[in-house]
Amino acid sequence: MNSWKKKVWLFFASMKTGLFLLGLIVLVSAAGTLFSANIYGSLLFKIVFGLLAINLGVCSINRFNIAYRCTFYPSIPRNIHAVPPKMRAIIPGKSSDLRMQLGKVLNARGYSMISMETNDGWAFAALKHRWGYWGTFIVHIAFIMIIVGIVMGNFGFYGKLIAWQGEVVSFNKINFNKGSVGKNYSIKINSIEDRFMPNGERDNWYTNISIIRADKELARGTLSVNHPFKYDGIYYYQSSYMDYARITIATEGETFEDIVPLGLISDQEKAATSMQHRFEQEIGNSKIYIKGLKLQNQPYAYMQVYNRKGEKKPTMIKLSEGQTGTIFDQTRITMSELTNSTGLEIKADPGVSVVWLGSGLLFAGLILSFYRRPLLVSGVFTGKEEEGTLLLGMSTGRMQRYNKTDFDHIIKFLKQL
Amino acid sequence: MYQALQSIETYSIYVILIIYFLAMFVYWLAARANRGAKFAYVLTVIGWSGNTVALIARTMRAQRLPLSNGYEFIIAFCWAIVLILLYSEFRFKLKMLGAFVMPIPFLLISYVIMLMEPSKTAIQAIPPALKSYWLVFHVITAILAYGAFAVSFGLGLMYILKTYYEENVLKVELRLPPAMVLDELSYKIIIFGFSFLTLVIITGAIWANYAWGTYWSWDPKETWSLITWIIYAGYLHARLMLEWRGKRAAWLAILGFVAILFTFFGVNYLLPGLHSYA
Repeated sequence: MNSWKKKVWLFFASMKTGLFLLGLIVLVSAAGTLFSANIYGSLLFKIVFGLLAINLGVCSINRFNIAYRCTFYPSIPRNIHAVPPKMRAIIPGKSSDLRMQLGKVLNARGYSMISMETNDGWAFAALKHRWGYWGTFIVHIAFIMIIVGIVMGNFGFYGKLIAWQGEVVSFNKINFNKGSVGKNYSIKINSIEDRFMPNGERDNWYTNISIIRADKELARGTLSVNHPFKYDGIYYYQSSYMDYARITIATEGETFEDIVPLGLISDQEKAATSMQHRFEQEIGNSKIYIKGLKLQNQPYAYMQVYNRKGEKKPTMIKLSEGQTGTIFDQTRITMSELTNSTGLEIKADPGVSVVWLGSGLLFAGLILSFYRRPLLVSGVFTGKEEEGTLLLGMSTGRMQRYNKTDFDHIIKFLKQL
Repeated sequence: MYQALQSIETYSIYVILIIYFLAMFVYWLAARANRGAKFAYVLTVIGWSGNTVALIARTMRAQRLPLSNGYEFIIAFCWAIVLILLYSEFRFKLKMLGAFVMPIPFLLISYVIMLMEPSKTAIQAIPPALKSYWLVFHVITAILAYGAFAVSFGLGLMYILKTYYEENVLKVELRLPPAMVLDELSYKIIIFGFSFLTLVIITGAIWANYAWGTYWSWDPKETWSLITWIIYAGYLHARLMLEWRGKRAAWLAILGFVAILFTFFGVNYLLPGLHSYA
């Protein structure tokens, strides 16, 4: 490898590079929550993630060879100097007895042992939890998969739809915030419901929709929050709901019509205080403003009516469907209909499955790394004829105390001979 | 029955506060005198039992697991902190760990009693977005993860104080276990917490995808959970690959828990977003 290529490779293989990039992501992410969320969509932020993916990829490639070799070809020490030095024990005894008992105790403790003859005896290596060598590799690959899944998501689309009951909306007329797609069918809103439980608590918002093409229904289903509807690889999510009142105002010889959004109250005694938090809406060009509330499970609405000039005191009026009331002495207000709208989010993300797979692998890799750590015991027996000395040692790894317990048990068993 | 359960829950919270305070105080005395730790442990067990009673009463009143708002999360969080503390002390024979961990649930319960508005502690209807089985997985993994990190925070503090005493920076002697024991135990507990924190983020992403059609939206709560995850990932990497142990590891464990406190309190009260439930 050329020297500059090698330098680049070593740079991306470095743990310090990885930690630096993670630190950068932490700082930028924190800044985004405190200052502006636009930072998350910035090119610079994406570049940092791209560099992290490269860092993970290079580390994974480096790690693959090591993991493969350690898993399938654990190294047997050729001489006493190659026996792991930090945790060692010396056991004198007969070659055949020691070899047999060693195999027995290692097998009982879940190790796989291989051995070979040497010039003056024999040597062995025994491995337990061998698949633990792959834990870190799997975690890194999983992270790369998640990043790939996120990138794939950019090739999907996302849009919002607010519609009335009975409305039919062509798919191509949907307002897409990201991406776009052409489909030759429409979405019909069959029914919209704000459902409540017997104890008065809201259950959920339900929208029943049909997918239709040339008056033929292709699919039908009901969606609610946490229960999306899927058709043709596209998901429909229930995101919002709103009650409305269709009203007509007749004043000074003119008539104005409009739709007023209504908040929801469970108790009519809360109408006055709840009305303070409602936003006011001008009805047409009438200079008359209305705030509205609907009483839960009841077919009428409360409206607070303002004259913008402040000439007249705001009036609270309660109306049911079809009812007309008089305000400001001569102004007539009619609520012709109580209606509602549903807010749907429509989305297709080709990367979601990859993200889920990556997430599953990430967790599996962590469990392998932390809870199935490989343990390697190796040693050499040297001696003249049958009598000799077994020198064995254990790779300490990062959990020295945990490894020592296992090692001590093996030594104790062998010393009982 | 409902009123009785409400009374049980309310009185349990006050009893928890008193017992957690007593346990904390006895632990502090025991840290100096090297005795009394068993009594502190017993007090902690009693306090935890009271915490369990409060959670059961709340469950029975609300007809669901108490995991849906800030108040319920704090009570469950304290329960998990103390559970993991009790297990760690029992399993690893650490007598003084409570002196450094018990202040956390004590302060959290104090906050609930003294500063939380009654409207925040009342049982409220769950919005449709929270009506999902993922709520249970997501929040339970969160309280276990955060509980573990609270204990590792205590261990980090113990390590720092131990080394400051040995370096003659701290003049007061505390009967603390060997530094290596504290360091290794902190590492084990962080591994446990990190595994659960990973599950928190994954289950949260799955749930968000079902509820809102997007698994990640850089919501402040999501972002700070990720920041916390990265801090602990940094701790594990630095420990495994760069041999970061001792003081540096202890400070990272402390920093990680500060990030958790910000994830809960800072995000809830300073940075509202989609996640403004708990």
